[in-house]
Amino acid sequence: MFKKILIANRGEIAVRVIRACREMGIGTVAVYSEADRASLHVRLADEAFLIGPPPSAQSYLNMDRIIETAKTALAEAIHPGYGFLSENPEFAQRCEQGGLTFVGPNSRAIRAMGGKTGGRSIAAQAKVPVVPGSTRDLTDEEVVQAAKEIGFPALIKASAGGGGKGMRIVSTEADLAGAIRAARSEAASSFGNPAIYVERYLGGARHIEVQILADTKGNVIYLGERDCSIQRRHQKVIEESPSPFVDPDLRRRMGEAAVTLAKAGGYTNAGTMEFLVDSSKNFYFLELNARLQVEHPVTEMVTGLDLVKEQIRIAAGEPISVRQDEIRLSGHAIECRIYAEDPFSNFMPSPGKIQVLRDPGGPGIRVESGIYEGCEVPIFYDPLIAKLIAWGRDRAEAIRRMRRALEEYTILGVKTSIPFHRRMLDDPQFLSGQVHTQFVEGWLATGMAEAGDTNAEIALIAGALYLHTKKPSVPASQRQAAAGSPWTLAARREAMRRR
Amino acid sequence: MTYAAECQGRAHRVAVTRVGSPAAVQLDDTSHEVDFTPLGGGSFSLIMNGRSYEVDVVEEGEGVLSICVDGELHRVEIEEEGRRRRKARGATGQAQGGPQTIAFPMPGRVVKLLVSPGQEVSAGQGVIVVEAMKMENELKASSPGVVKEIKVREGAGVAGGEALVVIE
Repeated sequence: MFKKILIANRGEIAVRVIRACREMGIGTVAVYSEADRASLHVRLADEAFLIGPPPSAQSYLNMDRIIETAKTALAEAIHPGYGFLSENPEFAQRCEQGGLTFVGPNSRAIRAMGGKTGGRSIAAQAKVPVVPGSTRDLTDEEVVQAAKEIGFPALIKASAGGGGKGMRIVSTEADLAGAIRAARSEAASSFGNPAIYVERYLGGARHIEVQILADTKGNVIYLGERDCSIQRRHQKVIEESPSPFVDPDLRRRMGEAAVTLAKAGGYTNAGTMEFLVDSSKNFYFLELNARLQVEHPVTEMVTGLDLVKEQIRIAAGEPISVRQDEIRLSGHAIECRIYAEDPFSNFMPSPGKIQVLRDPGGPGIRVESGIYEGCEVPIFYDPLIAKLIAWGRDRAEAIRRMRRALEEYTILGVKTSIPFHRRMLDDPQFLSGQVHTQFVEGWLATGMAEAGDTNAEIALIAGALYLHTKKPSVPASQRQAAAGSPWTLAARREAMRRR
Repeated sequence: MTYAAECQGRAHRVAVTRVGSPAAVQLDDTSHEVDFTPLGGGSFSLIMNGRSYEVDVVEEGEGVLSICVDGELHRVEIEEEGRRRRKARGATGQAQGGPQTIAFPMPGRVVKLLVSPGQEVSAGQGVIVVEAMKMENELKASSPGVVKEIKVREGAGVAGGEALVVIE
C-alpha cells in the first residue's frame, strides 16, 4: 500500500480523499493555489504545497507543477478527485511515465472510453444499447443525413462536450443548418474542439447511472444505480439511490450492461456509466465518467462501501474488497448539492466570506463540506461548497431526514441553494418520484417562492433588538478622534504637566 | 427607541420599549415580550410566545440587515425613525427612464450578447450572458429601454463591476 498520496484537487472532494487516506494510514499531500492558502483541505492535510496563482489553468490544471510537487514530497500516487485533471489522459500518462500511480483508470482506457463518441462506439460493439445516432464525429452534411435517418427531434452534441455546452435540440429539418453552426462555434469556444455528432433526442427521459468498480485482476462489479434526473441546465442538483423508477430486473440488466462495457474497454478503478431511461424502461448508454463522481456518497450510504478507499486499493494493485454476490442495497439515500449561488436571482454565483455556518447532524445525516466559518469562497472555482446526504430505511424516511437537516443547515455570508432544496423536497411531483431531466426547468419557470410571511415579523423584531443592543457602530478612526485612545490621552496629559 | 423598517416591500414601525430579558417590543400595533439571547457572532436565540427561533443577523450595509429566521433569509431595511432614509433612490430613478448600466459583480467572461445597439428591450429581458465560477449567468434589464451602448464583445474577459451594456 502507498505511504503517501498527493491530492490534486481542492474543496470538499479533496477533504473527502484526505479522510479516506487518514483511515488507511496513508500520508496526505495537499496542493493549493494562492486563493486557497486558508482552505479546509490545506488545513487537514499532513503536508501542503503552493502550486501557483488562483486561476485553475495556472494551478490545479498545471500538470508539470503537480507532478514535480508529488516527486518533491515523495508521494507515490496522485488522486485527482473529480473535475480538473481527473479525466485527462495526458495527465494520467505523465503520471505513469513519471513513476507515479494515477488513482483512476490508465491513460489508454481514458482515451478509448472517455470521449463521448469513443464510449458510444465501444458500447455499440459490445451490444449495449446507445441512444440512436452516430458513433463518430460528423461533417455538416453527415449531420444533416444522420438527423434525417434517426428522426426529429434530434440532438446535436459536442464530442468533447459537457455541462450542456455545444448542445442543440432540433425539431425540424429547417432548423438544422443554424443549429449545426451554433453547436460547432459553442464547442470550439468552450472546448477548443468543434467536433460534433448527432443522436435522437429523448424528451421526458430520466438520467440514471450505474457505479462500477473494476480491479486489475479482472474483477468488475456494479453497485446499483443513482437517479440524477433533478438537474438544472444539465447540472445535477439532487441525486438518489436507488432510483424510485428502477425495479430489480432493470437494475440487474443495467448493471450487467455497465460491467460488459467496462470489460470491453479494458477499464479499471471506479467509474460511472450514464444512461438515459425512457418511460417504457428502455435504457440507452450515454457516456462513461472515468472518475469518482460528485454524487458517489449516495452509493456509499446504500452499499456500506467506501468508494475512495476501494479506488486507492485498486490503484495499489489489490482486488476489490467485495464480490458482486455480497452487494446488498440497504435503505435509500439522497444527496443535495449545496452551491454558493442565489436561487432567488437566477442562480447567480455568490462568492464571499462564510459568516455563519451551522452543519446539521443527527441520525442518517452526512455532510461533505469544504468550508468552515470564517473561510472565503473564492471566485475562481466551481461554486459547489458542500453536499448534504441523508439516509433512511426507505425513500420517505430519507426525504424526511433531508428536510429536517436542511432546516438545521445554516450558511450565511454567501447565498446558497439550500432554499431551492427546501422547496423541492416539498414538491408533490418530486415526492412521487415522477421526474425527468427537464423537470427542474419547468418547475423553476413558475418561480421560486420567496420566504413566507410567517417569520417576517420575527425578522423585524430581531432586527430592531439587534440594532438596539448593538454598540453604536462608529468607524475605528473616528472613535479614536472623538474619545482619544488611552495612550494619546496619557501623552497629552504628560505634555500638559511638563509645560 | 423606534425604528422604521421595511421587509418584503411593506413598511413597519418597530419600537423597543423595554430592554432586558424579556424585552418589550411593539411591532406596528401589537406588543410582544421577547427573549433575545446572543449566542456569539451574529447568532441569537429568540423566544416569543413560548416559540423558539434560531436567528442570525448579518449587516449588509448602512441600514440593511440580512436576517435568517429558522433557515429562511429575510432582507430587512431598518433605521432609527427620524433619521434620513438612505434608500437607494437612484435605483428608483432608473426605473423612471434614466440610463441603466448592466454590470456583473465579479470577474468573468462574456459568453453571449443577446441584444444589439438600438434594440428595444423590455423589463426582465435577457441582455448578456456572463460566465463566472464555471456557471453561465444571464443578466436582465431591470426596466424597459433602448440599448444605447455595448461596451464588451463576446469572448472578452471582464473585471468585476465593469459596465457591460448601457440601456436608456
